[in-house]
Amino acid sequence: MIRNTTLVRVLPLCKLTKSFPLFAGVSAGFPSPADDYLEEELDLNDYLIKNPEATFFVRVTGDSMIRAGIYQDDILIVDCSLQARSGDVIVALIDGEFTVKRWVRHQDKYFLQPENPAYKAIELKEGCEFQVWGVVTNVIHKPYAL
Amino acid sequence: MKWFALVDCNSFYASCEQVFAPAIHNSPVIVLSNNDGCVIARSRQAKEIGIKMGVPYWEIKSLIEQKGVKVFSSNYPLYGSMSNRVMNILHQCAPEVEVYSIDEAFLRLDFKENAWQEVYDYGQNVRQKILQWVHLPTCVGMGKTKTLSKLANHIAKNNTSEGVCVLEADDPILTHIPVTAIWGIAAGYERRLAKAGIRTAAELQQASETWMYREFGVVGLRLLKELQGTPCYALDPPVSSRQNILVSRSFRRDVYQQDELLEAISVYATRLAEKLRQYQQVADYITVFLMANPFKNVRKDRKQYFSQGATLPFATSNTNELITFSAQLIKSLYEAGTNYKKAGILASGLRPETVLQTHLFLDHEHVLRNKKIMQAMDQINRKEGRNTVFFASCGTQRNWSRKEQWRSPRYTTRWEELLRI
Repeated sequence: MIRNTTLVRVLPLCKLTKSFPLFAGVSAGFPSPADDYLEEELDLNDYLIKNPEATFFVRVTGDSMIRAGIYQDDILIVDCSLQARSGDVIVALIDGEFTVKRWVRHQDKYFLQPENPAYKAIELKEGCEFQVWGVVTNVIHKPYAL
Repeated sequence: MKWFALVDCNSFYASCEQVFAPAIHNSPVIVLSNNDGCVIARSRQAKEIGIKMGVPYWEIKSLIEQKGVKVFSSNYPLYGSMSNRVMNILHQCAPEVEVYSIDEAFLRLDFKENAWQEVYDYGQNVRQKILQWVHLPTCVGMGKTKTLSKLANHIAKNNTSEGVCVLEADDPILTHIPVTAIWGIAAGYERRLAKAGIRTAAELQQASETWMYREFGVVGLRLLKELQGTPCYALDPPVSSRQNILVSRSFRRDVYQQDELLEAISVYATRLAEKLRQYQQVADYITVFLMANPFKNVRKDRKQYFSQGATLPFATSNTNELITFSAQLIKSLYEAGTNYKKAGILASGLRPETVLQTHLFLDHEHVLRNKKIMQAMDQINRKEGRNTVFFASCGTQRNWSRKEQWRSPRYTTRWEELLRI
């Protein structure tokens, strides 16, 4: 399930691979009235990925972001070309380690905010080695094990 | 005004490893060749502690332990994917791109006369973009000829910390740059130039055209003109058809058995056929070769290299057919009691599959059906990962297959190997 209820409701027919419209072959009967109106099947890549060159998939470990709907073993789609804004969920590098948190600016301070009351926010102070690696644009969660 | 830019990724393989392992960002990192043999890439820190390109792993084992060097087996799926990303970004940045190798490309650009600041800023933008989008560090050299842009790249890498160098032919820095830094100056050239008292790029620029032509022929003359700022080379068009395709690997250990050789050659033939189909080509001549272990050759005659070629009855890119023919060649080459270390297949006489010459006794129905089977195999293997479906002759044990003790996950091409955060 992609964490977007609208998508799930209105788009029952989507495929992850590129697919092309099926042309009705030459048949003896009447031609299909839909032949002139064929369109390409919906492609999730188009919907989820704006900039493939800068996009990476990563898998989640831990429960620090469950209130943002990010669970253990989910796949995050991370776009590294985006400029992070306050409030975005980001993949960050802090002191040589990856972490996924919400990036928040409060007054003149910056924080990496977890989405689980069991964890504390990390204030980004002068001197700590910090870098925005990429912005999380989508979360792929599979409630059904295939 | 036309400009060339040469964009080159710094220590490309080592940098690719560092993208996904930030803890080793400032550590010495090396990447080893197939079978974990020799050093083929070094991070800046690894260069600084004196690890040389091409040294065998065992020779620097104690240095590695002593200095905490991080060692990786080569992870070509990852490097290929990262390279594609960089090249695609460059295609978005410039109207014309020549991909020169896995980690460098020439760009052709247009700027107003004397707009050096603009040229410089462009270089910085490209650099910044690649760094942010795929986290790979690059250097950009810019000049009015390919040779100058390549030299500018060398200067950007070695003489500045900015990562970008805009080089004009009359730049005073050229009096400090040795001729060996110039693209196309091999060791032999260097000695002959030194005899004539030419040691720096600036001195070479002063050489006369007739002298260069006499000494080094038309290639030397072009090099001189390019160095003086007159373009002689344009961007090469992308390679669309090639003459030969080679697939060869060393074995993890010495191989004595014919069965194992047959398995190996089936795998290589499979890969060769995939490559041919990818370029929409067919081969009508293949050469199969075997190499005995040169370091402990057990043969009385000390022979090391064995090869045999064959003209195929019809040009093909079919896996099944290529396996069959190369297996026949292996059987005729094989000698019991030899410790083989390496095998390979070279396909030559390549041509586009569209001009497929028809064979009098060939069943067309059969050819078409085979083609469909190959397409289906390629599709499955592209989608589900290489070697999801393969011919049984390739074997399932693959005891001979290569050693890659320290390969990192294939972060960008395998679902089950994604980066964990």
